[in-house]
Amino acid sequence: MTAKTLPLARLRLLPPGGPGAGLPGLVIALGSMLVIWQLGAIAVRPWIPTPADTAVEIWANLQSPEFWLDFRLTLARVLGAFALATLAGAAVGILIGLSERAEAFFQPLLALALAVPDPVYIIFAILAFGTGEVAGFVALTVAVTPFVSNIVRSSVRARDTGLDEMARIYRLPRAAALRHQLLPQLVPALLTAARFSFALSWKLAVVVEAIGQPDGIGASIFESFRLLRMREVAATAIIFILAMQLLERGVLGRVEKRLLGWRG
Amino acid sequence: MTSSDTVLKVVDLGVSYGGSPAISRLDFEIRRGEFVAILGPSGCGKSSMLNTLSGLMAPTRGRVVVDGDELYLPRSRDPRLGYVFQAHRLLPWRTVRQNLELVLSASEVPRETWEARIDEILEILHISQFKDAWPMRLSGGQRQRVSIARALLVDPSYILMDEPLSTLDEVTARSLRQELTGICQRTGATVVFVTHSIREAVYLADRILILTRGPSTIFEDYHVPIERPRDYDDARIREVEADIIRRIQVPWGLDMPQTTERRSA
Amino acid sequence: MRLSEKRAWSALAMLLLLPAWWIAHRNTTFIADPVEVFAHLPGFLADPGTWLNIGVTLWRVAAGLALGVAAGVFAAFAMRHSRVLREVLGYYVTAALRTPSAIAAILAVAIFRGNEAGYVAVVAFITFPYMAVGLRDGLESADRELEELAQIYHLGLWRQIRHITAPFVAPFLFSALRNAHALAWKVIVVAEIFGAARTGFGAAFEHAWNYMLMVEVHLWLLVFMAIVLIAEYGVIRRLETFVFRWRG
Repeated sequence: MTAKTLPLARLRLLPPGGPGAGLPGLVIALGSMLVIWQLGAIAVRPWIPTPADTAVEIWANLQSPEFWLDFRLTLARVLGAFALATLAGAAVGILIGLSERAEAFFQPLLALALAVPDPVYIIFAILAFGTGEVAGFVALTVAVTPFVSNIVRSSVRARDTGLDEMARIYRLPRAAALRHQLLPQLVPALLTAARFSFALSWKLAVVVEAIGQPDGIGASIFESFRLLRMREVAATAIIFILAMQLLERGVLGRVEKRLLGWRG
Repeated sequence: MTSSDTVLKVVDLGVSYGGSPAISRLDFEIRRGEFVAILGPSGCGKSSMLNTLSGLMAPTRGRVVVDGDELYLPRSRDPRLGYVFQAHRLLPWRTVRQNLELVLSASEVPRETWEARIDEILEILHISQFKDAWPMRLSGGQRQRVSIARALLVDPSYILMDEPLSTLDEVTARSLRQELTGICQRTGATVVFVTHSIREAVYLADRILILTRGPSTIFEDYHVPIERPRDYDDARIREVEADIIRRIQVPWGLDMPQTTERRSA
Repeated sequence: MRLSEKRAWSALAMLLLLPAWWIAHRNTTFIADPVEVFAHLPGFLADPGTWLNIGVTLWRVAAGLALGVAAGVFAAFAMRHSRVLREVLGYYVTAALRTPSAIAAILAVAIFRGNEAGYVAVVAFITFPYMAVGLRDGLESADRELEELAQIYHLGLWRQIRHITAPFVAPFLFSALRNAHALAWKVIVVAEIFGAARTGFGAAFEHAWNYMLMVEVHLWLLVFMAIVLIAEYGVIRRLETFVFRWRG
């Protein structure tokens, strides 16, 4: 059973500056990445831009209002889908974690949903809702929700059932037991699920925008690629990735500290 | 037949799982204020019994009556019980006070009296200073004291204790064991105490229900003939312990090689 | 709950999909008639072209996944070796973990210019960090729990790996493999569509979609899902059950 309860919930995304991370590690890592990049740029010229050119492009991007317009648009799409997918996924995950019947019913559907390639969701969403905001939102949410459900379900199943018995014996009403006994146990898994859901949302947003939207970071990257402006592709991608990384660590990291204060 | 001071009445209770029996037949009564130990070998259907006596699991056969109300009827309410588990089962994200308030919120105790009640019970258990501590910061013995406080707090019909001292180190277990009788007398609690330790049962209980190997029945309803206060190291405790060991030798199969492994419930 | 009851609920969920599909078909213009799709299925499956495209995609996934698993295992062991390596590789893993598959696909097209190696490289690049992280966690907990045991009983290195480390790490390995495998199938379609591949599932799907051959779009989707599910439940989970048969 362990093998089945381990999956995604265990997959803590690797903290680059975890406890005890030192400066030498960072320097060697970044240095070697730059060297590899530079060598690649020389070998596959002009398809890989040099780090120096890219840096100039990044600087230019940071000062361009159009870039920030795209950035804000994409961020709003990511946050919307992230919020809905996390809530819906957590709700389904808790339901199927608590009820074997619900699990038997939903498990095959989840497996099917996970086997659908993301571009297919996007294409069908466009057919159903047109190329507006709704299509991207729906496609992102539908693609991310099953992952969240799976993470939450494993942690519901791995809960301390001794506390369930305690709640029954002291006759806690269902709502109180859910709120005070079950949910706090799930907080670590919910946070992992939220992290995972956020990371997946912004990564998929690039695909969604590239295929189905006229604006946003993904569309801009794909447009640059179509015009073979690889420097712009690299610059936009790097800023976007770093910004999302910072957002995730800053906001979710702080939430995590607050919610898990009782550990100790 | 049920007199007003009968708290728990078990009639013809049987539990089996898919045809294989764990408890074959139990009949007993427990009166208000009594301290009854249940002593059985491992695999005597202990958890089945605890689950049926606590309202968690309907028995396959028979009746459980708590304060005149029969459990497991279609419309019956859960009984008002205290339960001290082997592990403390406190909610680690709530302080001691918050843990106690949570169970009070599900009881009929009026809110104005909570504070005084909590203070009184923490005082009895000598843990007043930990009122606002997180459970994870307490020692094993202190957590078990909180767990006992939680059980006493809801004014239960009776308290089930499932080897509550077995996970503590011997010194801690001794001091808590010593206090337990006094605590129960002071609060007038009725206790059903499940244990594997014969000496512990003799020391704590008014009566000991000795079970057979599973599928279990009551092999003897043993009245402990020692007045209180008792001393854990007293020679008379040892004598009674030795007497019980003599009685259970054959039914528990203590000196015979085990031919078949019984299922443990 | 009985196994038969579970099966009944699962079957009910699957059966309800058919009427749902049919209702969707009646109310939209782009969902094909399920009856028509199933009528075309035998002919579709008999077409060697279908299997050629599936074979190409399958090969890309298998090769990429194999490479990604190898790189991940290597990285996990290297990370255990020294603190500096651990940190340095940690940054590489994070970088790979954080690259959206669409961007990886675009870069691969630029670097490999439509060469077959590009698709394999994208799959390997996206799956490798998941293997590395999962396995590293497994090795770490194995170290903590088992080192003393091995020392006390003076087991040699090989026996230690064979009898202690491997069984302990196996669950982590499998859960990482399952994640990597699921991801590989997701990535390859993105890579094939963005990389303007001429063969493979993504290419065939996009072709059908561009010409609005909706029945064909549905057929490709069905076949793709069937293959993903067979690979996961028919191969990987079977293997897992076999490896963990001692768990009873």
